[in-house]
Amino acid sequence: MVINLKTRIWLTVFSIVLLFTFFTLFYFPAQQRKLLIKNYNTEVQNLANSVALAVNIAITDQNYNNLGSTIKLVKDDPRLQFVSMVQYDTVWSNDHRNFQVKKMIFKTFPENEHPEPDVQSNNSIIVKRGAFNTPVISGVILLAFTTKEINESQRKIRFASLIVSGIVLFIGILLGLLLAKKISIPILALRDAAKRVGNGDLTQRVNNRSGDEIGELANAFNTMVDDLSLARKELHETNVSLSSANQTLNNTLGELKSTQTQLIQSEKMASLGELTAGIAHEIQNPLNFVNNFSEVNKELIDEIEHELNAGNKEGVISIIRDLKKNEEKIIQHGKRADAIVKGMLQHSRSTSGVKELTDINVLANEYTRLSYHGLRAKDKTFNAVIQTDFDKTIQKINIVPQDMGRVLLNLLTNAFYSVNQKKKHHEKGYEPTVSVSTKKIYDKIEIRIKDNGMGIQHKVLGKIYQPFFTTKPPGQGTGLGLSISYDIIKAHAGEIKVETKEGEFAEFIILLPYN
Amino acid sequence: MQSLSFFCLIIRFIKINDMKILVVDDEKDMQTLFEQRFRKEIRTHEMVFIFAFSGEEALTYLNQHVHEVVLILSDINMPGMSGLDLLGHIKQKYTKPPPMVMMITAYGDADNYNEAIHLGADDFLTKPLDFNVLKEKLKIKFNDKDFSG
Amino acid sequence: MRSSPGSRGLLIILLFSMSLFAKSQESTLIAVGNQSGAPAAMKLSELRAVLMGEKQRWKNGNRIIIALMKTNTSVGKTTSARIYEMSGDELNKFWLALVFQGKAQPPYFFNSTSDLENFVAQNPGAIGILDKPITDHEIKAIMIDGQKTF
Repeated sequence: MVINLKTRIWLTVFSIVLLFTFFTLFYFPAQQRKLLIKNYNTEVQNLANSVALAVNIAITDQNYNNLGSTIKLVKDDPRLQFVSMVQYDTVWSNDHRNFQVKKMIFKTFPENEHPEPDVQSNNSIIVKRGAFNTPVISGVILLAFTTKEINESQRKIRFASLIVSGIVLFIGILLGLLLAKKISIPILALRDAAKRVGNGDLTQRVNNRSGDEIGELANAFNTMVDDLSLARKELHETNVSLSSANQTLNNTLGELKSTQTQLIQSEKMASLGELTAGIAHEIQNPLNFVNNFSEVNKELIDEIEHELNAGNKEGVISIIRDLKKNEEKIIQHGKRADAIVKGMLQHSRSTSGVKELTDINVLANEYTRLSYHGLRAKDKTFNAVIQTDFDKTIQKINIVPQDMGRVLLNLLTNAFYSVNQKKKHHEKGYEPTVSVSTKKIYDKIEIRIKDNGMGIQHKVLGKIYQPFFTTKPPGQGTGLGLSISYDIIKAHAGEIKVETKEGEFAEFIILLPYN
Repeated sequence: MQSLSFFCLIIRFIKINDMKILVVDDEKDMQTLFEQRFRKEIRTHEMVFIFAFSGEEALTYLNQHVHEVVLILSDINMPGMSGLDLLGHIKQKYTKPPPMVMMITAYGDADNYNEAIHLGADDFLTKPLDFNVLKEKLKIKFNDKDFSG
Repeated sequence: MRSSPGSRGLLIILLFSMSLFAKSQESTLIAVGNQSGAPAAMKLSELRAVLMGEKQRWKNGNRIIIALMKTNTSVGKTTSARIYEMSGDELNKFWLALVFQGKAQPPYFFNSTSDLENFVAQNPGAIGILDKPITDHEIKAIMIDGQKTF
């Protein structure tokens, strides 16, 4: 059960007042009485003592003045119940071993009182004894005062405190209610206003009538709602501008995407360009053989005719053997040219993404030559030793050949570029070498392309696969090669790693699943 | 047939001088081609063809048999030592007399041509190789040489 | 003279008074009083009554103030024996009881006769018991039963 603020306040005040009342009505008077009784006891005792002393003096000194005035004092006191002189006599037994103390009332005032020698204090009287001891007579003065007065005053006090408590209680309750109201009303107003603000109504403000903390709270609340209202407005405006900025960003994103597509295409075209020169040369060689071997065969056919006419059978057989050999060469080189052209066409097309069983060694070899000659076409001073080491046990693997070809082309191009750069700076004794190897390792194919060129700087190692990152001078590289290669290898569920030492070598290792 | 008469001339030269022709090309089928196209000359020992598949191989051979080699036919674009490098080495090293060097290459551009001539190439042929042209040139060169004494 | 019962009684009385006289001749007592208050003569029984505290005031209204010698003096002893017929202690107890009950004004006890005389002289209504003739003429001797001394 939640006790509300108002109730709490006046309950608190009420409890305090109640406590006070209890104190006033019971505790305080009780303490008072105790004190009074104590004082009274002391007083009576003192009086008894003085009477006893006076008796002592009277007997021993035969001076009865003191006793007279003391007795008068006692007698005149309205509180006096009785005063007795009690004589104590020590009575020894016959054998003087034990004794008894006989107490005897000698004289009492007033004479109508007949107290027992052993009388004690009770609710109505305080009895005190003062001892006197003279050779003539020994005993105690028994002094009894009434507690009537105390009881009377007690009643009076209790009555008074009852009245006072009642008044205080009443005032307290009133004040409590008043205070509760005074505090709770503004707080309730604040609560209601806060609730409404919480529900969205930002026009709420509270009246501030007092300068105290509640007033400050009201002010703070008002300020807060003002700020909130302002903030909401600003937020709304920000939203509007954000939404338009968002629109702009969307547009820009669209443009960027199309630019990216263009760049990738131009990268393709660039690599295609690199290919073209290489391809031209590549095709020249097979064509050279096709043409020449065809011509040779034409001559050989003429010779056959000649030999046939001459009847030289052995000659004819020998020539036919040569014919066959040459034909094979023609076919071989023709196919080679065909493959090169096909490869070139495939490279220029967007990838179909279709995997086919491909001989990775053949692919590697082709692209090694393509890359090398491509670069030689651009830079006639370019030269490098190519080492190949193809694992003949590798069967055809399921890859997208034009994509993987691009990867190899890219890595090879980079390798050749690197060794070429190094060659330009190191003249003596440096032999640019690029090695390409394939190897079957358990369930993977490993392709290694190593060059003894410039190596890769440690600080850029983390960036080499980033799109548009290149160490070539501006305009010389798109920076997309490794990024695209990385994506292609990932699409084949493979891995690409690099080992390098700056200034000495770089080796790219491709791992492809062998299925 | 023009080729026949040229062949006769060359035969005469070979008989007199016992000359070797060194062919330098990384394509191994070049050997087959040469052996086919010059089969008559080889059969009759008019010409002897030596084949090297790299510039280094060529130099190694030349170290031993430079005086036997009258002509070097070299491709330009080869892995390792390029044809032009080889040309340079030969013309520098062997000067008495300098053997004839003809470049055979797919790259028919002006830069390659000028570089070759600058290095002292005696001739420049482009691929695909026209063997008739080659034979023609051989004849001219040998005739010149012969008559120069 | 013939001894009749009456004369015998008289003789006894005489003898008694003589013995008394004799006793008192051992220590005679004089009653003295302030000029104001106490009468010039009193009967012995009256004296006793006064000294016992039975009377509070003189005829003239003065309060009766008793002055005695302390019971440890010979006069005091004689006083208590002869007038009160009590010992010193008994006298004390007697007066204690009276004072306690507020019934009478207690006597003043003195160590020396001169003190007593001075006291009596200075306090109207005072009456005292001495054994010697007075020296102070501001106080008067009270005739007891017609006698100066008793």
